[in-house]
Amino acid sequence: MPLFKVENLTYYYPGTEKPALKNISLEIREGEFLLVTGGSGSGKSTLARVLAGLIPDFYGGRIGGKVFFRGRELRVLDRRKLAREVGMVFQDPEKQIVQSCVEAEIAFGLENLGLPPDEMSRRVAEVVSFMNLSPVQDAFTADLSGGQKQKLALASVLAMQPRVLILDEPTSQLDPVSAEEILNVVKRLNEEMGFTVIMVEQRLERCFHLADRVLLMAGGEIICHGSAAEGAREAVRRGLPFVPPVARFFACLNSPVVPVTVKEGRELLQSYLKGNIPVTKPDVPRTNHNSTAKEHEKNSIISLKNVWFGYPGGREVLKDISLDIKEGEFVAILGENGAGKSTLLKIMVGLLRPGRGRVYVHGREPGRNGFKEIRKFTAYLSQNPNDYLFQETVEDELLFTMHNFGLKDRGQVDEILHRLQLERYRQRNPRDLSSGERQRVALASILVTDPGLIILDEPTRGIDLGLKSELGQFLREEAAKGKTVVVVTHDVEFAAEFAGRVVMMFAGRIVAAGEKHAVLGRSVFYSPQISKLCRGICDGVLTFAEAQEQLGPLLVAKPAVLITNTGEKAIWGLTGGCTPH
Amino acid sequence: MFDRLFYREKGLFLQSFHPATVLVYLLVLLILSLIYDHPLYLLALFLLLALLIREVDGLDAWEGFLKAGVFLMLVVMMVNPLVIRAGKTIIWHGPAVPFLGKLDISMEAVYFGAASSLRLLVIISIFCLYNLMINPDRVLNLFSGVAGKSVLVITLATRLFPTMVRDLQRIREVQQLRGVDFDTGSLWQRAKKYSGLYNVLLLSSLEGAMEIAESMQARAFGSGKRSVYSRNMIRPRDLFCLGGSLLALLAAVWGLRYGYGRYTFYPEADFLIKDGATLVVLFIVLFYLSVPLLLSEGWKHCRFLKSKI
Amino acid sequence: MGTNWGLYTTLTGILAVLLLLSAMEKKGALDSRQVSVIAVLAALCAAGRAVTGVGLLFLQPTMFLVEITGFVYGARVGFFTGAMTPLISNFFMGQGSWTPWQMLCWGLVGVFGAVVKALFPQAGNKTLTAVCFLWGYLYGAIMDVWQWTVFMRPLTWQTYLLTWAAGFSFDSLRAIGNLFFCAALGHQTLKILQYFHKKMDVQYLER
Repeated sequence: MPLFKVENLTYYYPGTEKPALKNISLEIREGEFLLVTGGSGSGKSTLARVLAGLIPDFYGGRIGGKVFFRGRELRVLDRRKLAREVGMVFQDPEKQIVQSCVEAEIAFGLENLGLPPDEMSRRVAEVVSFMNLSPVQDAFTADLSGGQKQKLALASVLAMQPRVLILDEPTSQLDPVSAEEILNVVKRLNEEMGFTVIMVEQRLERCFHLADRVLLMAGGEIICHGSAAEGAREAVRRGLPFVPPVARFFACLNSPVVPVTVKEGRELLQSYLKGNIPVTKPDVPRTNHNSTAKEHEKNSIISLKNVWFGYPGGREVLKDISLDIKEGEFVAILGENGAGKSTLLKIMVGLLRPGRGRVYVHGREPGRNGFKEIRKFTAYLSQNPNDYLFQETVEDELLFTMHNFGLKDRGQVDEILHRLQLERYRQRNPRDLSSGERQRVALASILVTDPGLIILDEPTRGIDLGLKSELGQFLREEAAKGKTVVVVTHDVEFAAEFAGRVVMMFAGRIVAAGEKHAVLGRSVFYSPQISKLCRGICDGVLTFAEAQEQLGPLLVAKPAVLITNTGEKAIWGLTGGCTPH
Repeated sequence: MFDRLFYREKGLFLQSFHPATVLVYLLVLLILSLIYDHPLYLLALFLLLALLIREVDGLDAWEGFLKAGVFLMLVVMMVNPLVIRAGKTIIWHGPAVPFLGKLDISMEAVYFGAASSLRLLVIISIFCLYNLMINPDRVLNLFSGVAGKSVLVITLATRLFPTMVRDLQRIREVQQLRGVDFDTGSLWQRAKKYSGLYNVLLLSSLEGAMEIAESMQARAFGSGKRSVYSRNMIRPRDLFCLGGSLLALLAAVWGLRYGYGRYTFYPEADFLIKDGATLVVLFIVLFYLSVPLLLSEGWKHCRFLKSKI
Repeated sequence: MGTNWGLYTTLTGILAVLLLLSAMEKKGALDSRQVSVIAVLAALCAAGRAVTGVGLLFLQPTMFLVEITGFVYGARVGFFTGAMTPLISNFFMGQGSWTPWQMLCWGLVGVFGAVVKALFPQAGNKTLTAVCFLWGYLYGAIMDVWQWTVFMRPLTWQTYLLTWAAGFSFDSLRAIGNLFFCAALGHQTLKILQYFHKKMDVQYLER
């Protein structure tokens, strides 16, 4: 008997006419690791909530079809019984913690189940040691970092000892290190402890290989359903971005085997290249000297000279930072949590004043009195787009900013709305939009003044791969128009794909800065998956397009290996899926 | 500033009591401070509190508390002499004022004002000690058996509070960069600017509330009767301290029946030390009250005691 | 000075809060949505109470929110949110002897919001603003009772008025803050809370 059996499930959220799930039929076996992926609005989170019993219990709405859990219909199951069998972890760590003490939070679910005290103590103790939470056991939950909070949320669910773990994008709000930690725990739970895992996820390069099965969703329907390799091939065929780079690379080659990890990928690549001399990639950085020369003539938009900063009573956050950002550059600032990236941004926009050193933006010192002058030319997008949304309509949101700066040109509103594809939502309440749309509205509300400098703090957090590349594309266009773009991100893939220059920070210092190939190409850990795939085989490759360009001709030389059955020549993926968006 | 609870876990002996013990002990102190009029008794309580606060490393926090009480203290010191007409020793003959009558200030009234201020300092110190001695979470845990829902709301709100303060700061920055100057314009205009700020926060937090509710729902909240996970433990030290508190209260009430601890301010202030019994009663009460202090010293310096309490 | 009013008022304050809270406790179960919304509103009010800027003369944009909460969600939630407000912020700023009375006062503000709703169901923001302004002073007047009974002798109306007069400037600031914020924010806050109020009751169309 399958663990879950879904039959013709259709679901409408209350007050909506469009179904969030359409005719879903699905079986999930005990002990399976199921990865559910798709764009925002594809219904993947809704499906997860149906399986966890939250829909329709918590949300209401209209539901059709049947969901069985161990052969019994989910809706007749007692809530307590279900909660003991199925646990769910959500996306945002900030919004899952209820108690103020770590230990109490772990016990929260157990209290709800009405378990006796000694049983609770035992389970809490077990989970605390399994999740390695003892150092923070007595801590105040609000003091924990995002990663620790998510670990705690997972621990609190595990204490209830469910057999099935449903995770809704558990790592989308986390930095890579914390994300890795969560995924490792999930992997262990599945492999060593036999948990059934249903994971909705966007960060595919880290979990694709863990999955026994991949479910690809779009528009409330399951569009593909099979092993990781099959999923990758299908997604590529349909031009969808929901495939990790390595798998996409090989799926585009129509390779009979689609590897899903760097290790497998490298083995395969080396076997293809056998006989071919290891590629002696010219080690020159990609920038030609022409353009570097040109850059020197360009105006410097941001210039930091020996900047030091420490919060009052705290440690030093920035140490001797010197950085020069020129007009028209697209700079990505990478670094781990607490490296001082966000502080650096705040110094740039004048929200903080440096302790020592000088900051010039547009030739003025923002920290002193230039703040009010420069902010008109500076757009700043914080980590949370919701911080921007409080007007009744999208249009008002843009007009609010214009009004503050005394601008009257309504044409600018039209243009920005058009460029960010928001015209349809002009009169909608921004709070009724999806997260990706909200981010675009927030972006529109700061770009409406036509600023020369665009600064974004973690813009890729929590948005899906498709939206991510749209955003990157948009920013690249802006940079090409002569605007300066500065992005702080954890997302190496994003930086490698779209930025021109990369700055790496560590413990308040800049440890590397320069053209992205020079910085990322040489890094082992801070490098995109494609670069890891090609290391030593073809150095200096960062993006998907580059890999195709560099490796393509070599691989085509042996088409017999590459092309399995069809004699297609167009294997270099002129289809949507193979060209980066 | 609001990132952390006022309470800090320092691993001190005085922080290791059962919350109920601490509550009883502090309640006894509060009651005594309210029923005693005698300046000497109040002073003794104040000194005891000072020692206790020093024992929990709280002198800095205490300073802040006392500063906050200064205004109230001034009011008490000012208003009392202005109004009280019962004193005999007039030190200043004031003019007649329509509402208050003749403004004669008497020595006794000033004296009473000072004693009241002392009481104020004692009460402030008791609460200061409360804040330093006990994790609010453990107090709440104590009550979750009888008032589960209220306690849950309180803990959830407590844990959200620092997030809100942080959010508020971030939204403020965002709006500043969108051209809002919070520090310019008339008061009315500023209030309007802040409105935007609070609207954003209100919307975002209420949206967040739905997600929190969902996470609670997924962990079987409201699926039936809840049980209570308690992390509080009773040790011998709690029994000693509880016993001390109750004995102190008994001794004090017994003493009050015979007038020890009472004090007459008007028409003429009494002697500070009328007879030896005043001191004896004070000593007995104070001894029982200093049980935690003595235990704490013993815990630090005597290994035998440390293992037994 | 036989009767010790100071002791009685302090204990009355504590008892009143405990009684009211336990009454809230008894009356039916709160579901997860109600718990989280009340907690969020209380945390928000507490944050508004704690974070006041010099630029705004320390005016607090909080009391009107409690009142509107009571107006929209009823006396129970209003009292709860109100009573939590000083309690929560004092966890971070330090609890004091004033906490129980503050809780009582703030709770009453919330209850009063519900009273306004009961008396004038169609009341708009103007009524709420006026009520909120009055509560700025009323709050001070109630808070002074504790201070008066504990530290003042004799307990005459004169001493009370003097105590009250000493705090008049603070009360005025509070009242003006209430007036401004309620006038500026009230309308929209009302709409937002009503929107989420609807969201709290889920309708099951087909189960």
